[in-house]
Amino acid sequence: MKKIALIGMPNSGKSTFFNSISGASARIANWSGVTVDVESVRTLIFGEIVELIDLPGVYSLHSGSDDEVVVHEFLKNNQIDEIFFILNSTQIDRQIILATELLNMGFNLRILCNMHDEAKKNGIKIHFEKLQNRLQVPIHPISAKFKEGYEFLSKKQELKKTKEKSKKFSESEIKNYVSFPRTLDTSTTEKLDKFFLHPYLGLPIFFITLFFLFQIIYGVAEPIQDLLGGVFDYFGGLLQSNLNPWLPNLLSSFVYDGIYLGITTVLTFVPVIVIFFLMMSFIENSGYLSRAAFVMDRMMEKMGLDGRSFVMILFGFGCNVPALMGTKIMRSKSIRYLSMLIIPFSLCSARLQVFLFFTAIFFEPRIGGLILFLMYIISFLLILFTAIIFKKDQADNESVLIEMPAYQLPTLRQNMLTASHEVKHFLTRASKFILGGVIVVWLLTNVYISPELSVADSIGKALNPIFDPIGINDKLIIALIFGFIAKEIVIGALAVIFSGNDSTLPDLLFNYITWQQAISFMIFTLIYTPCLSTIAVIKNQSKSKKLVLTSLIWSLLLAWVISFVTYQSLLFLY
Amino acid sequence: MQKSQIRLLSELSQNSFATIVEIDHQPSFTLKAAALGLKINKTVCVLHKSNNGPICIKVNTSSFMIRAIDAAKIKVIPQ
Ligand SMILES: Nc1nc2c(ncn2[C@@H]2O[C@H](COP(=O)(O)OP(=O)(O)OP(=O)(O)O)[C@@H](O)[C@H]2O)c(=O)[nH]1
Ligand SMILES: [Mg+2]
Repeated sequence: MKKIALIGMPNSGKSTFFNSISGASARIANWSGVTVDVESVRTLIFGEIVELIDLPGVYSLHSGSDDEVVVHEFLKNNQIDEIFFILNSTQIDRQIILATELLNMGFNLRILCNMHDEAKKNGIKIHFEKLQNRLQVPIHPISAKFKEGYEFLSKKQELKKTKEKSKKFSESEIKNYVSFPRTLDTSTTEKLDKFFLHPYLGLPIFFITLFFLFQIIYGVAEPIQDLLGGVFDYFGGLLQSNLNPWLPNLLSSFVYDGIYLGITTVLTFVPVIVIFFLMMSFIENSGYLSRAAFVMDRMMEKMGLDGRSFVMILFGFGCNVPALMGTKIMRSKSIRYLSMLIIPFSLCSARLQVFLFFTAIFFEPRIGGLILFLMYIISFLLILFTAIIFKKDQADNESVLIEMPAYQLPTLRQNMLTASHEVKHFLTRASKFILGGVIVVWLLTNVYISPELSVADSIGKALNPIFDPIGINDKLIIALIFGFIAKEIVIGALAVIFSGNDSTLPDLLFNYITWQQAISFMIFTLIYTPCLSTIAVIKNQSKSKKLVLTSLIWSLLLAWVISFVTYQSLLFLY
Repeated sequence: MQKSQIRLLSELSQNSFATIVEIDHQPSFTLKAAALGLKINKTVCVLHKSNNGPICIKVNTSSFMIRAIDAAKIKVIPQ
């Protein structure tokens, strides 16, 4: 099968192109260094099925950070039939040099001048025919974001071998083939940056925006989730009354209390996931991330990190796993390791689900939104604290050059696509962990060691001395143990653990624990290991058992201590 | 070119333009900087400065942030 690789500088739209022609779901953001590994897919190009490969962006073909090395190794070790060199047309002057380097290395190249929409908007005129004749390679203007200019993909195309002389292309030549306007129309970006990069207001603006975003999530997602919960309850009632006459008690309990309750409770979070990722995708594609890196860099530097670590923390809001992988763009080992230690404290969407569920039960909406925001603040503080504790005095400093791309208005289609990918991701994780998880939880709660004591009870009792001081009792302990696998299971597990009653889970929880205990549970959930996948990624990325252990022990310890202090203070105060 | 005109990129004030005359930094920096267009003889514009923090600069069509400590290793002649 023909192999086509996508090569280009970071943030030129390779993954957008990759997704748009293959229906794949590679991560996309207006940030340099989103893709950090090889991803391939089979798709129809030039009338045949080919293997299309998305790669990290590279600045140079000779040296670079680990993600760039992935590309160097890939080019060295693989037989590639053709390279689609994807460049950002608005920066063709500097990006085309990399294409000519690849030509010099003897690769079969086709240049796709992406973001042609932006180039046109900015008054940049590329003389494609002339440039094509000069370089002796096919050049196509495209807009991956809008799927424009793809006509060439459907026709069978043969690449001509490039003549030697056409390759020697110098940067100064570019002006013969591209006309740039005297001044680029970047006024929107500059106006917005006056605001977002303001020396004093930059940071407050960031936090205020964050606050309102989460209030929106809380205000919009919560009622929808409630409604969906009601619908599932209604059908659950029907299911139960239909099962009871047919199945033996234990089996009907397995089907209803175990599988139905466990899964539907988790499914009520789908609207939250959709709304949350619609907003995340908007922020990630707007170009704001690098501005956040700019305003936070100074503070991060004091903690032995840099602005990029902060962007990874923001990525972590969605899921910690890609954020941890994103540290590959950092060359300095100390910055990278420290980033891997702090990212797991970034409040991911799976933990958000737990918090939404608990705050809705224990607090009225006005306070609930605040408590949710408070969780984000705690997460930030823990990140700062962890960084300060583990900061190396003689850190190997790395110079920081971060591209600040022009702001873009993300399209609705793009946002919807991201949201639908995330829902798919959520459902895959759900089917992988949650179904298995809830079945095991059901078994634990329904297999009895003695007439009065289920396996779950006995585990809860055994761990009680550790968790009692932080107000977490036996039923919640089981949920936390499963939360270790993935936080998405926590609420599903609770639904199964508390099943067998006529009441709904929120009512049962409300009667079972106090609000102080609920807060302690939330804090513990926030701080201890996010999920098995994060541990696997830390191990994989760092190849350091010590780092994995440090991360595990530190987060468990911190979770216990902070829950303890909070719980005992709340008991004392109220 | 007069020696006395030479300044450091980190010393330039916001909205000023300058021509780069020397980059005295590690190869890993110089290489990436070059890929971003930050090379000798190029014109650089300082877009934003923060309090003791990084600087946002622009060369040709690309903007990026650079730390003051790195900018202090780049010599320029103000225009
Ligand atoms: N205006 C415009 N924006 C685009 C186009 N193609 C991609 N983008 C945007 O450019 C940004 C970067 O896109 P990606 O596909 O993540 O870029 P990449 O080359 O894979 O980046 P790395 O993985 O970091 O190397 C995203 O915000 C896209 O929405 C386009 O044709 N026009
Ligand atoms: Mg990519």
